[in-house]
Amino acid sequence: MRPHDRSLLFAVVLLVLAVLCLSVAFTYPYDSSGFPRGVSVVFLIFAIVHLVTSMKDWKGQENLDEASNDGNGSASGSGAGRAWVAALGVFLSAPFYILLARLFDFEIATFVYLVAGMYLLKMRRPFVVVLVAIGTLLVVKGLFFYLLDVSRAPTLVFGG
Amino acid sequence: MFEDSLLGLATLLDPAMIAAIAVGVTCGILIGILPGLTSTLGVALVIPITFSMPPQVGLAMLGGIYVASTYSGAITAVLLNIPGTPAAVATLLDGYPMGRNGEPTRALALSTFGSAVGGMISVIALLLLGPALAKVSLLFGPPEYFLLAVFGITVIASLSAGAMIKGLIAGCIGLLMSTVGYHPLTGTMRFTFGLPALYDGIPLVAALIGLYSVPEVVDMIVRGDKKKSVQNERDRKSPYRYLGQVIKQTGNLIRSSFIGLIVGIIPGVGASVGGFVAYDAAKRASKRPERFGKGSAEGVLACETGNNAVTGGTLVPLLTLGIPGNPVTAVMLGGLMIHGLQPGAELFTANADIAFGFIFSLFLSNLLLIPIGLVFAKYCAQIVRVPRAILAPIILLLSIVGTYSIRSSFEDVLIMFSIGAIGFLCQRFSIPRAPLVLGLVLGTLAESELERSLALVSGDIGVFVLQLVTRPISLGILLLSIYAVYQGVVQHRRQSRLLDQ
Repeated sequence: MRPHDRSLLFAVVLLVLAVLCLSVAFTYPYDSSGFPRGVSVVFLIFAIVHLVTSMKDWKGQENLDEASNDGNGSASGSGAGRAWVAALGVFLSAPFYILLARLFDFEIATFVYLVAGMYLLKMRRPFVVVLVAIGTLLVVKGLFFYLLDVSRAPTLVFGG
Repeated sequence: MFEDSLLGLATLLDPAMIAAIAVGVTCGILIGILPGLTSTLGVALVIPITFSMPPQVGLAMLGGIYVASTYSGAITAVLLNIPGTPAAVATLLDGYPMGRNGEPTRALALSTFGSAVGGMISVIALLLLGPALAKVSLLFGPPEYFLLAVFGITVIASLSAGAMIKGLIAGCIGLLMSTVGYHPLTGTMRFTFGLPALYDGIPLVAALIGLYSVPEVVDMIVRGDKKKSVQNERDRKSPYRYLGQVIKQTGNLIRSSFIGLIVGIIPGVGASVGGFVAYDAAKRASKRPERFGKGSAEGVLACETGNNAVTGGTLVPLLTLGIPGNPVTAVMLGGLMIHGLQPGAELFTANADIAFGFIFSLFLSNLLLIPIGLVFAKYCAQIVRVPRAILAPIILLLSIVGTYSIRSSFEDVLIMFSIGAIGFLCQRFSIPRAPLVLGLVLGTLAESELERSLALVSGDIGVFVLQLVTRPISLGILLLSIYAVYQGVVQHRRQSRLLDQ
């Protein structure tokens, strides 16, 4: 998808979001929803203005593409694709860490998370990976669980 | 005020306070040097650590990070021709040429001394202006507080270069996010979708960390490591021998500090502008303007003094009226609120020890920049080589554990990542995140003050609107908000015209 197509799509998504917020805000009693209702109305107005300007930009870009006879827009596709893949990896890492911490404990989860993260990001020096993972684990453990006395979640394997 | 100042000064006798400042300055310098890390991300990541500390100690650490990360961008600018933070862009003009000419120690020493002096002068100004301006907030009623929240968002949104509508949309999303959870008066649940973790609203720390750390990590992964041309030449002179050169330029230091201070007080302008304006003023006032751009000591000193003086300036509207002037102070406002502190007159009276302690801690942070900054500058070339493959998982881990530590809840971690997804979308589609943070932070205040205002006029919206335009202070804030939007529109049109041309 070309960048200006994506921008237009995002403007539509924002408009849908504004309509959804407005419709949900109006389901609450008036005395509890005056503020969200007002903000939703303002949000909707800005979303419409944004959609109109995005459509103008989209048309301008289409004309430019036609003039230059290059409508495939593949130039920036790979960079954007990498960002979405990276984002997906980052978002999936959260349930992975939580699962490990719930199953085993904080130490194992942290060590595995760091090693897996560095390995996936193509760090191929095992000594450095293990050293960094252990060092970070000790610092985080000392800071949060000893100094700040954060309570640990119970685990399935080790209890707690 | 004198007694309150003494109370604040006394907090510096606490060894925990000194340790917090030193740790904050050290972390801030590291954040400024390390590629991909910003002052805002640094402050957001450290807020959970400060959560269980006494407020003055926690704030001192956050202040140390803010001051030091603003300064340390200059180290990479001088040695590597890469501004570690946007604040150091002006430093490239003369700092890098001076380093390339075989005088990196001189450039670093001038940057460090200039930053420290600029920062200290702005802190003194904050000390003098803060309590006086805070008294003005006593004249504010509910309508004024409501408008202040609106003003803060419009200013930051309108200054989001060329993206005012997007900034205003981000502000609206932030305001809507602040309404998640039970209504403070009626108890009605709003936008919780039946999730108990959202009953108390979106946890502020989780939101701040998610908005700033997740998109940065994704960006870090995508960009990968770039080969950097590290400057190897290093003179072995002591940096302290350049102190005399700094003292000789007292006029330049004072002028640049005042420029930075004023730029900082104006919301939304930023440290990079402070550096550039101070640089330009120094060039105009210089007897040897032809040396600017070729490694001028006056140039290095002016931009570094100017950009660090902005830090104290931005805290004037933050501490007195609760208006953050940039993303870092927006996050710091969150930090203040997490510690149960409300900007304004009460901060300087009921919590005088904390407010003045924080101001004095900033002074000490600026002073500590000199020894700590000069030590780090020596090893900068090695520090910037830390691969992103190591940095990215560590930042994510700190984000997860930091968010979990607030309420010992893994649901908060999932909320943090969900808000991180919003931050990622904002980054992908060039929507500024600062207005969103501001909406989230100020939304609760805006809603409660709006409801209080409406209650005072028996819910009559017409009378409320009439109040907004008839009360002098609220009318002033309203006009400023309209002017901010107008400025944003003018700026957007100018940029569009330039693009068309």
